[in-house]
Amino acid sequence: MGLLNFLFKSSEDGTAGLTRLPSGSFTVAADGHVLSSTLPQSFGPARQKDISQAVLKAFRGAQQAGLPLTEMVINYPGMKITARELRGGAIIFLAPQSLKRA
Amino acid sequence: MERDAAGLAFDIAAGLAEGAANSRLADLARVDGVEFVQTVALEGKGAVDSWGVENPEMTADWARDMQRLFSQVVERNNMGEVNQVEGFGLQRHVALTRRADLILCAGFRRTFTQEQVREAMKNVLIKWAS
Repeated sequence: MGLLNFLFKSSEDGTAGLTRLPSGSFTVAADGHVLSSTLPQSFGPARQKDISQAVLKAFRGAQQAGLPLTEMVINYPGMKITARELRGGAIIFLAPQSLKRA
Repeated sequence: MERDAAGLAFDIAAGLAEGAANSRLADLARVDGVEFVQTVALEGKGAVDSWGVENPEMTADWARDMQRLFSQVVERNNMGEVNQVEGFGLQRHVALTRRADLILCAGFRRTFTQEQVREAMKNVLIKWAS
């Protein structure tokens, strides 16, 4: 047990600790301001802003590259981010991925 | 004269290499629903190879930006590596994935569903890896 405590000990700022992957959605305005959110408090505004800025930049970049997109899906090993464009802003869904999915 | 012959041989070799790369991408483009294929180096500018892309430079820069943007999100939020990014539009759909230092970007027919895009991208990746 002592060994496990040693392996999974959280760092002082808590960033390296084991955290539950968030599930929920949030909407963001064209200026990057988060309007509403159903995400847990553990996934704070700074993280939501981080994701929303990347998503908004990606939509704008696609438009400039001549590939206008209305929806984007970003797949991570444990999580899926789905973003839908809303008149310059976006609605972003975060969903943990099950291990069963191929 | 010798230099001319060497230069000609170099041009032919370069042309053959380019042709081989294009034929490889053309092979990937034979997957049903694929409209364009492009490989982009993670660092640097422009595309490594492209097939059927209207504006290779801009698409390559966008693909590189996408990879960088979402990799940074990953690093800051401890979410693992980006597996694949898919984009769906009214004109066409796109999918991006990274292998080592290369990004593969493929465009798909707009009539495809999300599931069909995923399946087609899987087939493109299998061909790319073989």
